[in-house]
Amino acid sequence: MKTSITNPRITGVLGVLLWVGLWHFAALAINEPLYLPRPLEVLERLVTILGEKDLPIILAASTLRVLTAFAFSTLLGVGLGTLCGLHPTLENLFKPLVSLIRATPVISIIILAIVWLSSSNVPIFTGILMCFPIIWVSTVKGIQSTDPLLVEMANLYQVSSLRILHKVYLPGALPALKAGLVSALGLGFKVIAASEVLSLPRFAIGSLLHDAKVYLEIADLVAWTLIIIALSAVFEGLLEKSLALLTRSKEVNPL
Amino acid sequence: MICLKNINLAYDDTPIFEDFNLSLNHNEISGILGASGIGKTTLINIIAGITPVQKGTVHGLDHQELSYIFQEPRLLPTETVYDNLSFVLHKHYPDPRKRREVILRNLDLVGLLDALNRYPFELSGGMKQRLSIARAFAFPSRVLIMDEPFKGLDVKLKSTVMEAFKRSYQAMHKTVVFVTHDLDEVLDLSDRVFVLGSRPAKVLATEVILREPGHRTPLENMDKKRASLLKSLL
Repeated sequence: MKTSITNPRITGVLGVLLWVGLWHFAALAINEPLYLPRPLEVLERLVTILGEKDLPIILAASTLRVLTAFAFSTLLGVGLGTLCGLHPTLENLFKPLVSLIRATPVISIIILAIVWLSSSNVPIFTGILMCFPIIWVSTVKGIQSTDPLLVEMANLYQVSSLRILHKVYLPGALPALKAGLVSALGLGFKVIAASEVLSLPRFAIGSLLHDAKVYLEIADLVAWTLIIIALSAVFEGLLEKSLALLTRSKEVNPL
Repeated sequence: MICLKNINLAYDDTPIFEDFNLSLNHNEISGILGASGIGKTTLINIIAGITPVQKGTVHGLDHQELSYIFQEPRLLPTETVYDNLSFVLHKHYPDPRKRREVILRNLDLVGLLDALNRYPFELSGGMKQRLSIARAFAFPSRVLIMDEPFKGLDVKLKSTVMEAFKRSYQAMHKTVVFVTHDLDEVLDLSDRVFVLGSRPAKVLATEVILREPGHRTPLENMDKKRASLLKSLL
């Protein structure tokens, strides 16, 4: 079988090699690990970090914060988003609040949260405030993009509201909602890491990022960043897969 | 009898109906014929209670007892043929066995028994409209409202879909009210025809097309009736 250069897997691997190569040459050119460590140095630190005894606790604690914030945001965002999507008056009431949260710089929210809450709750609070608007907006959009003729048909045939929600609105809203959930989870990992850097809870990737910055251990900083990226990618992938399984027959077929 | 009395309705000061009256018999197929844009769909929406009127009343109709065949099939894209019917029947047939029996009987009448587990995107345009006919007949209604149900179908498909309608109608008589701009459809299906014309809309002519009881074959003078209806349309 012939292997094509346009094969997405091959081009993907080539892409990674290209950018890592560029990083390597840039690090060689700069020749100052404090500014930019070489990929091999980062890999060495990564291997050391991966062998550390506390790593599972640190990863679990940070991931738990992300998942808690994500679960709360999903409950709030989907619940309120559905109600607001169905009732424009309610949507108008919530819109200013959601727009305000979206426009507020994440750093302001983190600092306020540090003033208000204990250090271990700051990342969760910040995560909720950052993820909720994305899920709310995608739910509202999804509900409102449902075919009104199908809703009219279901109402004329006196189908119960709960059944209409389940069989008409949910499949109509799913594409937008899925996209919103996945991007909210990705954002959750970034925001919570940032929040941990400033609030410094015990057992947190962000706290270790902070230490790496303070002690100018740039290779460690990049290695922890790679760990966050990997965690985020794994959980986004898991979420996409579970949503696909859960909604296999529920999505509107594009054909 | 379904009676529309002194119906008044205007959109942006343009009167659509002004003191409009119409009486439709139960257990008949009443065809309402009229040119496009005359207000046929509005009239059927008034009968169905979808469009509220500014003045006038509609008597002799319980809105809980209506089923519909729309211009477009309006099927749930994520549900199978079977589940599309089950969706509207849940409340009225809570017993799954009874519900299944009703669904299978109606799908059989429209020739979709083999397509039970298929999704709407796997069906042709004609099959989709046959499914919407099965849904309307399966629903325990006394009155069936149809808004140009054969519009947009080519000649061959239209004939298949009309046959499916006739089979379902013969099996389960309902009061049928339908609007169309197609003279042939009206002559083929109706027991009584009302020709709607001018604006504000008026009933210009009423024609009774008699058929043998239990059969859909017209008795006599169809050519004359066609000519008379055509004349009133022009």
